[in-house]
Amino acid sequence: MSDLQTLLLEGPIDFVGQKLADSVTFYFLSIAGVVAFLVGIITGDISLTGYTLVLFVSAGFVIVVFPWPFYKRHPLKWLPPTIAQN
Amino acid sequence: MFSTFQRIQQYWGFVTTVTVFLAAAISISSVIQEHYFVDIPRVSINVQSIDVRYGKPHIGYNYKRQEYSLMKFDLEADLTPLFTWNTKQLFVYLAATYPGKPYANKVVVWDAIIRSKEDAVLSLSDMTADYSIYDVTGKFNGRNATLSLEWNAQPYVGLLTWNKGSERERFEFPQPATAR
Repeated sequence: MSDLQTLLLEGPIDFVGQKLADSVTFYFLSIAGVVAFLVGIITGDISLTGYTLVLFVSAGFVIVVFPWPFYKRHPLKWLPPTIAQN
Repeated sequence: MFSTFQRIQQYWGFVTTVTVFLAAAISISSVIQEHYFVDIPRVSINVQSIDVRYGKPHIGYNYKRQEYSLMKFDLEADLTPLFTWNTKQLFVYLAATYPGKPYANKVVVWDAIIRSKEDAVLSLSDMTADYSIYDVTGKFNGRNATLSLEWNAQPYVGLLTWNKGSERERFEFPQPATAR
């Protein structure tokens, strides 16, 4: 598989990046829920709640799901190869 | 969250969790708004005329000849307080209750669906009831009846609620005009 295919289909990121993606999911979507609720209750229009939620969820999808470079800042440091003893 | 697919799964799982909490918050907020911040709707009902006839109440296959009543009424109601941001529509109906054995009878004579706050002010005069009343015994015997306006508030998210206006109009079923 080419590098681009690996990048998009498998999208590996390092462990620190995974923790970051997890935090972003939690905080971004929680804020999305609160903002959607406030938008609806202040304007009195529940369709605006739906639209803001869809907007936030789409933006969050792009931020979290794609393997951006900022998720790959701490790659694993592998030990140098040792020669096998026979 | 190593692979793209895992991140999609984790992300979407939390999206559905947030949606459930949001739905709960919306329904609770609208219930609080209804109970504590809203006036009671004003309703005024007047029965213009009650007509009891003897015959088949509907055109159709299996109706026997019996007493049935047709009604004309005036209705003034301001139901705008019932519309919160979470109200999808109101199902409003005028119900007549009268005694019977072994249970009291309750019959809907008119109904309407109100979809927005602008349509929530009802001002009907000399309105013919949509539905006629006919009793399981086939006779009214001049019983007394009470007419009241009731509604079912249907929210976008949450539980259905039923309530009624405080004003009640009393009337009596007259004897049938035509001989049997």
